[in-house]
Amino acid sequence: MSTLSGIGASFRDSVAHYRNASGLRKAAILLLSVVAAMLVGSLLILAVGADPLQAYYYMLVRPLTSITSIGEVAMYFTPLLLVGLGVSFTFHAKLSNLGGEGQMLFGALGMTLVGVPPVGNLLGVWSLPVGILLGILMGAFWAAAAGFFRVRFNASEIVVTLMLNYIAEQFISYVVFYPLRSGAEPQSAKIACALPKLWQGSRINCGVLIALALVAVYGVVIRRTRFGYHLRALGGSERAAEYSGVKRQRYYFLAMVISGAFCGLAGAVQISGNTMRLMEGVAGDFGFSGIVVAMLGSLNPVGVVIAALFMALLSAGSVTMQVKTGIPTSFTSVLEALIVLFILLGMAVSAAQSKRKKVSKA
Amino acid sequence: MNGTSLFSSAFLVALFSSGVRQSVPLIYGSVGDTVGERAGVMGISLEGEMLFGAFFSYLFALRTGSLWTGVLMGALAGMLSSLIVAVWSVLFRQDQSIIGIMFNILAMGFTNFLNRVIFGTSNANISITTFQPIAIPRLSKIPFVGDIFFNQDILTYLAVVLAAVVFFVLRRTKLGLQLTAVGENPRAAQASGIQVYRFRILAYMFCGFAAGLAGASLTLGSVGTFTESISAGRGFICLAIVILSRWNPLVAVAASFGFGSIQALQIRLQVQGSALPYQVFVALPYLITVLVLALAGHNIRAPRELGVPFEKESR
Repeated sequence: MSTLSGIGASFRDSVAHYRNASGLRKAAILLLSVVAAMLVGSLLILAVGADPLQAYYYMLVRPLTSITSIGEVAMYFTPLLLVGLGVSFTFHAKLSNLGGEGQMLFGALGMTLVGVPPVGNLLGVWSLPVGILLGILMGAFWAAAAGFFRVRFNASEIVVTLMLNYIAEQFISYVVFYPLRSGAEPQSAKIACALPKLWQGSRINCGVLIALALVAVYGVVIRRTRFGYHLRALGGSERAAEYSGVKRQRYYFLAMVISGAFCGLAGAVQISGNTMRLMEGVAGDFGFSGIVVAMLGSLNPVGVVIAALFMALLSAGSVTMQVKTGIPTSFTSVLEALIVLFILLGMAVSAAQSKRKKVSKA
Repeated sequence: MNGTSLFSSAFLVALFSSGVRQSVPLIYGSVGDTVGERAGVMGISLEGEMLFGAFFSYLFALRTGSLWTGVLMGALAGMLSSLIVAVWSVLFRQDQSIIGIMFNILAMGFTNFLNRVIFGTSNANISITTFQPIAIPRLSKIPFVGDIFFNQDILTYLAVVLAAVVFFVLRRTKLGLQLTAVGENPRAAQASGIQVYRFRILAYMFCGFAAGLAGASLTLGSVGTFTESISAGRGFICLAIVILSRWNPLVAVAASFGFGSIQALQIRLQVQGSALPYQVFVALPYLITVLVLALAGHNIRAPRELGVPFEKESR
């Protein structure tokens, strides 16, 4: 095997170990990681001269106090959940899809293409489902490019997906500067359709329901289908999987494409449920935050939902926090990264402990 | 713009001279990563270490008024931050790609955070006077070549010297052999008395040190200020350069010059204006990185245990 593909072996071991750990132990690791990260975070907050309790109140509690702000949380929750589910597929096969951002951008482009006039007017109400479908396809297409390089050339999907993010960013920039530009600002026209709202006076919309329905789909596919079983076999032990007849390359490619489809959907929902037009940076940080969601949720369907909710609170709340306490929103990135680092630490410690137990038993 | 102006010698000299400047952070980064990868550790975190280096070199150069203090602090910041990655991947034996990505998010968040807190929300940070070009006597008088290669700033010359030293150490010294053994066959290395963990952690630290210099060369060598996410994917481009150069630091210098020139061409074409939209040029280095990975990454021998954590207890 050539460049970089050896990566993931230990991760596989510790994840495999981690999965075998009891639910209680897992929950304890996750909770402790979050607490530890927040404690380190409070040092930063104190350094700025703000009050950590107040800051965390704005991040975690305040967003839930009104239906309007819950709607804002949903604006983050839906894409976080979709990207989190998407990258979970690849993590199962011990692939890393770090291209969520690029795939989201292509999904957003798909929605925009059929949403803006003239196509948008022509299709009427149909532009919404068609746009979502096209978004899914385009996200899958962009991920397929990365999958192709991985499978055909054995090029590291880590670097390729990251590079494809930069390329997608420039492509979308080109699209909103020239062909799809409408008006003085570099952005597309407003799309003609929108995801129906769930509540008056709040931006929460049907996108949340789509995402939650897909959680069930994800759970069933991973746990109850041959495909999911094979994916997990690949992630568990590549060679064993190959002996049992799993076509490794094909599964890598498929995992990548499905992952991209989820991210593409996230992009389409971002346009039709939030921004209503295509512009630069429409995918935000969701590509990377989605990875945090997958890790924090330990690839478990329910876990991913809880993780996405937590991360959505952080993201939505950080804006208020910045205004009220002067702590920059980039604080959330620090917190996110710390959480995952502490989870990894917890996994390592837990693995070492159980190994010691095994040794002492023997 | 017409064909003659694009390929006139004045244009080419300016282009490649700027290409050399653009290649400096890539040289530091890829030389650092070469050492890391020889010892079996991947520099996914290079991008984040560059950000640390870029921010702290700028901060200290601005506050102390000394560019050299800035360079030193940038390199130290890169090195110290790399300890996080080293501890997590070598001692805790967790997946290098996940750690690297999380570290990069941490670095981006943290440098943006500090930038906002220290310099406020205005985008226009105070500019500092960057390192000035030093003409090397005689050599800089050579037509064309002199202006391109021998009229650069000190960080550029240091980058090439560093690459040469690393090349020598890897090829000709016991240290280099031991390092390679750690990346190729850590078990055998350990059996022969080499401290695998220590080597890998030191390799990470050297990688971080070099990435810190790369960051410093961005802020103090060319840009003169810190902007958010200033590294713009250069850390990942370095990974491709290392593969393209087959883990040879001197070839990495040449490959970096290639990528630097593409970057320089991109900037020039943007400024001059062309029939193509500027985004094409901005995307070009990334596109070429993907192609390099696909075409050059095929059928090559990477250090055998690259990216694979080493477990001391196992036989």
